[in-house]
Amino acid sequence: MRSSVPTATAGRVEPAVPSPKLALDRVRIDYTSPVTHQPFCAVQEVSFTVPKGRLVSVIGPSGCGKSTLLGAIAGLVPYTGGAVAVDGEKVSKPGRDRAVVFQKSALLPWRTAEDNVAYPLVLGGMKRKEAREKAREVLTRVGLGDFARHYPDHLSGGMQQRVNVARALAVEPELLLLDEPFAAVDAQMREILQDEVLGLLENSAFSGVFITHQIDEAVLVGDSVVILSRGPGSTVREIVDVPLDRPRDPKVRRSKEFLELVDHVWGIVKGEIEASLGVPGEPTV
Amino acid sequence: MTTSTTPVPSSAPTSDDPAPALPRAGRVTVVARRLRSPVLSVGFVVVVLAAWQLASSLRWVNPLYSSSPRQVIVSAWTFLPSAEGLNDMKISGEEFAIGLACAIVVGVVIGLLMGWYVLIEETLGLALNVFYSLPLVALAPIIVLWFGIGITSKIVVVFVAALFPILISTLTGVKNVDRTLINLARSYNASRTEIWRTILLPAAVPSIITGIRLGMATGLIGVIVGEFISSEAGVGFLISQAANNFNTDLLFVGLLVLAVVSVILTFVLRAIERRFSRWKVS
Repeated sequence: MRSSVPTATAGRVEPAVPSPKLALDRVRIDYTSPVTHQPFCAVQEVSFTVPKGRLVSVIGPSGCGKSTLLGAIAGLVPYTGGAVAVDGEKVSKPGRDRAVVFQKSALLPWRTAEDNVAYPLVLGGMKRKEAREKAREVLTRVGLGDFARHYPDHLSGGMQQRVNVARALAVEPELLLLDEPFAAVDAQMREILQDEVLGLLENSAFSGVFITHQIDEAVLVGDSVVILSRGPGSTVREIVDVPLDRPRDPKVRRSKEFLELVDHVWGIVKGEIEASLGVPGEPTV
Repeated sequence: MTTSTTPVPSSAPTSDDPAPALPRAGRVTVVARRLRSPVLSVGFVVVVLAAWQLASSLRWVNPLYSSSPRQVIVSAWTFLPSAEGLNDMKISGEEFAIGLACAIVVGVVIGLLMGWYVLIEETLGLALNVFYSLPLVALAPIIVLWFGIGITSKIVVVFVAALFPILISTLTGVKNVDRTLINLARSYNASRTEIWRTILLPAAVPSIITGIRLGMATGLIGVIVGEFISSEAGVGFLISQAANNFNTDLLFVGLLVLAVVSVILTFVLRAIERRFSRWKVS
């Protein structure tokens, strides 16, 4: 099992490595808790890179600041230390080069599926008619061509989530940011969506960050898995490479290599969870 | 499809058959169920009116006080098209329409601002709550004192009466907007104006319309209360004058006008409400 040190530093030592799509360098995010009004450190010293065309999964115990971290990469959450850089440029606000797939399907309920997918395109200055055509095209790609005129509430949870993914794909982002996109759908639909997203990713050029709390999902989709330690103030516990071939067949789930990787990652995550439950000797926060 | 007396399961494949024929008994049941509610509700009103007419005709009650459906209709037929009747409806209509229009504009604008800017909500919160909890009947005399017995004071009473339901409903609508949607818009670099136009306003529209429907009801109360306190014309004036003169027939004509107006308004607003929330699961 290969585990590597965060590659942000490695990249600096060996300049031969091509510049990554996304580089996080000792990122720290603080904010004031809306409940206790106390300052709160969500993540600190988080460093990892996403090479061009690669997908990095980020997992960690719940409350470890995964989504906050994704928000910082998206430019929605300000970070207080370190640097988030896309193509070497520091991120300070949302940009058209990035698209977020939110955890809840985040669809505008008063817009049809096609108008939801067209929404970011129209915001980007595209003519409404043109945007709609493009939206229908992408919806067809995710298998929802016949449902373009349906309102989100009239679609199943799995379909809504596909519209959600389609919207992010429509803007043809260079960096796709997925925030637990399948957390709200049932187990069967989750597996189907995983396969679909896997297929879409294989055929696309973008790089991505995939936040999830499902270990098998992280291994299945990612080229590497970043494991965060427990919060608050969580940091990168370990980065595990996923040397599974691409294009990746969904059947890889049943392979020995895959299961070993999942076991390995689970071992690390389990350690973090146990620590957070207050194993003797650990300071409780 | 062969005719069968067993009910067709709704999940049966019907790809070639756009409207599978329901068994006869089934179709009758469907029609009966659809008609049940209107038949019952209209039937009840008819029974009550008939009983009223009967009680009055048979002198079970004193017709001087009770009037009767027949007398009310006769009285309405002569009074409403008269100059005086038309003027009453026109005056009340104007008071209601102008007051309500102002309340919609002011209520929606303040509601939106309060819903979005916490500072504005914190500033106005207490004042609004105090104002809202005061009974309208208690406020009306001071309004009449300030704005006179003419149409202006009634417009203000309607405005005050309709303002709060509209304002509070709008406020709630904006506050309940899903934050993820705002983040979504932000993630695609939407400007403040674009966030308002594409997220906040559409999300608040159903609550705004509900607020207007509630505001219409309270506004109607406002017209009558205002006219009761002091006025020279209007439906409320008609009712109070009729009561003072023991003209029960005319009093019921006033009530009839109010009832018809409020039924129509509610019906129209419900239709608009449905139109603007057709994206919701029924």
